[in-house]
This record gives sequence, C-alpha cells and structure tokens, in this order.
Amino acid sequence: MQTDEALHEEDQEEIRRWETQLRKGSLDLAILASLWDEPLYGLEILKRLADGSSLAVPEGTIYPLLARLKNDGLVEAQWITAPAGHARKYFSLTQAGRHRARMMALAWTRFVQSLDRLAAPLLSEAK
Amino acid sequence: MKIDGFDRFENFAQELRRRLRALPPEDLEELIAELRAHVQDSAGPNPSDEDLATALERLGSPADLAAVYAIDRLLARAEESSTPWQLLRSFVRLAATGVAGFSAFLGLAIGYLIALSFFLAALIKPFFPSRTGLWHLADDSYSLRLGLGDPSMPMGSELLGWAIVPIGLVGGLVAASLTRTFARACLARFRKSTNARLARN
Repeated sequence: MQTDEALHEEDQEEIRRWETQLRKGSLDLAILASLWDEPLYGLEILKRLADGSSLAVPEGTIYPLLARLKNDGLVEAQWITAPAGHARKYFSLTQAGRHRARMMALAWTRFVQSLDRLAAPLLSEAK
Repeated sequence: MKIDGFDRFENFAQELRRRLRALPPEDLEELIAELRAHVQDSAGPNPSDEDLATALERLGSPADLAAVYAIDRLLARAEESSTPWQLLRSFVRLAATGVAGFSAFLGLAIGYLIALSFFLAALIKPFFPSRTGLWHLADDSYSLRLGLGDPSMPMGSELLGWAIVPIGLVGGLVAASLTRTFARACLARFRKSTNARLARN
C-alpha cells in the first residue's frame, strides 16, 4: 500500500513525462514562433524554448527538426560569422513558414480554448 | 577551443561520423559544423575542459543523435527523389541502415530490374527479332531471350511474336509504377517509425 507521499511522487513523475510529450507535440510551432521576430541560431532557439526550465531533451536533437523545417520550405538558414568569433548558422522563417506558423498558432489557440473549457470546473474545485 | 577541448569534440565528431556514414558527406559535415558551433556557444568563451565536457553532454550522445538524424535526413532525400536513378541512389544509402533498409533497397532493385527486362524485350525485338522472345522449350521449361546468346534457334516454339513489344512496354510501365509505389510505401513506413523515435527521445 503506497503512502500519500509515494503517490505524490509518482504523480509528479507522470506529470513530468506528460509535459515532455506536450512539449514535443508543440515543438514545431514553438520553433517557428521563436523565429517570428528575428533570425536566431540553434542555442538561442533552445533558450527561448526552455524559458527557464531545462529541456529534458538532448540539445543536438533540435537540428534534425530544423533541418526538416528547412526541407519543408518553412525556414531558411545562413551561416554568419560574427566579427569576434566563429560562424553561426542562423535560421529564419520563409513566407511559407510565417503563414504556416500563423495557421498553427490559430489551431493551437482553438485547441487550448476547448481544453480550458473542459478544465475550468477542475480548477475551481481545487480551491 | 583549447587543445583538450578540441580533442573532446573531435572524438565526438568522429564517433558521429562513424555512426552516420550512410549519410551524404555534405549533410554530415554540415551537421558537425552546426554541432561544433553549438558547443562553442554553449561552453562559452575560454571554456575549461569541464565546461566543454558539460556542453558536449547536454548535446546528447552520438548514439542518440545518430538515431535521430540518420533516418530523418535519408528519408528527406529519398522523398525528394523523382527519377528511378535518384530513388535507387537514396535507397542504397537506406540499405546501410539496417535490415529494413536493406530489404527495401532489394525490393526496389528487383522491381526496377523487372521493369527494365520488360522494356528491353520491347526495344530489342525490332533489332534481333529471331533472338528475342519467350520460348516454350521441348523439356517444358520457358526461356526468355533478349537478343543475346546462341543465334541458333532453340528447340521449341516462341509464344509471343511481335506482341512482345506492346507487352514489354506496358509491362515495363506497370512494373516501374508498382516499384515506385512500393518505394513510397517504404518511405512512409520509415517516416512513421522515425517520428515515433523522435517523439520517444
């Protein structure tokens, strides 16, 4: 028979796993959205995505995703050498990428709104 | 980067090159350049050996990265292929990735060989009519000849006559089309399992 504490621990672990899955599902949109205002290089994109929490994924795995987005014509890449340092590969949105990002953002908002409606009673009860 | 750090990254890069040798070299080197720049940024200016070790660890193991990259890039290239020749070249690369890849390549090669045989039959008949055709031999076996070999007539009757030309053309087109469909199906299958693997990572 598990103690309350053990159950809580298990919950936390499960929630963490689920959150990781959520992040993965929204990764495409997250990457495209991070590039909305300006071109960024890999590490900068990762920092925007992590927003404080450490991503539990190997950092290198963002590059195949970026490569796929580039193949799909949604982003383009350019190597730029900073005056005082090494070359960096900057990614930016193409026109198609901007369009796709907006569509995804709209779909995302609709999705979140319907979930919010479902979750509202749960949240008010917790008080 | 300091000499020690340089060794660390180069060891990592060599391991990655080894695991991703099925990739086109320019893709592989592009990737390594991306990762090198990433580590340089991640470890910061004038990094200690420990900084570099940490940066490399956060990057992911060569095994993790290779698993994610290899199939993804190969698939992308294969999906872009339009001619049978390009398709075959992409599948040759896929063949190196494992049993599934190899079987797919084999299927593709056999499919295109069959198509080629059909086309050859149609093309060669006008030039070597008496040596091209499908013979039913005296010993009840069949022999397909495409203009090569013994000029003396084999013992038996030729079954198709000039119909071999349209049969060859149509058969070739059908075989080529089926092979292409097979290739697409394989790619879709690989794509699915790759996405699953990306998600699991």
